[in-house]
Amino acid sequence: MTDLALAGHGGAFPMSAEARVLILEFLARARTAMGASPTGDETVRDVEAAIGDQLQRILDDGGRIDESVTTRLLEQFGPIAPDDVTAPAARAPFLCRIVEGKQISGLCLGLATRADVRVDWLRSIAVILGLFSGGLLVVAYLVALLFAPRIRTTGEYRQALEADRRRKQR
Amino acid sequence: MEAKLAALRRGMLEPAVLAAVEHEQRYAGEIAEALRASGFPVQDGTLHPLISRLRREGLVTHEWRESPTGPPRKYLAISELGRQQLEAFRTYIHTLATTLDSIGR
Repeated sequence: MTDLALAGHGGAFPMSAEARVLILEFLARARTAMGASPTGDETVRDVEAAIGDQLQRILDDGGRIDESVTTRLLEQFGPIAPDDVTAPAARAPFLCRIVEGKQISGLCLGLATRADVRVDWLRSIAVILGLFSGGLLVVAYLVALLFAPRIRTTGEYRQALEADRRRKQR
Repeated sequence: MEAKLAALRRGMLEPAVLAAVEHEQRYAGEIAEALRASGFPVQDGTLHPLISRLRREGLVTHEWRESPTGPPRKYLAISELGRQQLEAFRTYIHTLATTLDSIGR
């Protein structure tokens, strides 16, 4: 037995380890699904509180929160699907500056995310090319800074890229 | 057939949620129950993102209220803008229904 605290609820809910994992995974998926929405965090908090309400009801009825009960509860709750009308995730710009985890401006981090390569390699190559291109790449870098929009995290950028890919398929 | 009806209902979800808070304030769990009770099955997972969009668009407002059993809850009420949209939805849905009856005659 272990327990889990949920947004809004005072105490923690006693539950089996499997149940805890199921709920945490469910919430993680919800967070990914809502990531692009401006009120995503708030929605996930509301979802957390609502799941807490249902767990409370089970406990009040003298039930225990184990794997099968949780599976059923989450199935009935249904996966968090972003609301299509408004969450047309932002378009992914070709170049962007990612704030979280940046070294200088986050431009390399953006490129590495887009190309799905390791950012430290990309940075090293950029520095080497910067030295050998006689400053040309440095100028290009500075110009890019003028235009590249800021994005908070690599996760957000990845989501926008994913959404773009899906739009193209349609 | 049920899948087709479900597709129809999906488009009705937004007006249905607005209608659920038209006359009394309800929190998300109560809205889900009210919809289910009127034969409109909806999953909480679909409802929460929708509600958060309605709030963002200013169609519903919320206020926190203490609850005797759990944490404070976000009670939703329809806004003036929401009322107008609900009215528009209602008119349009009636038009659609009459069209469906009269179109082939």
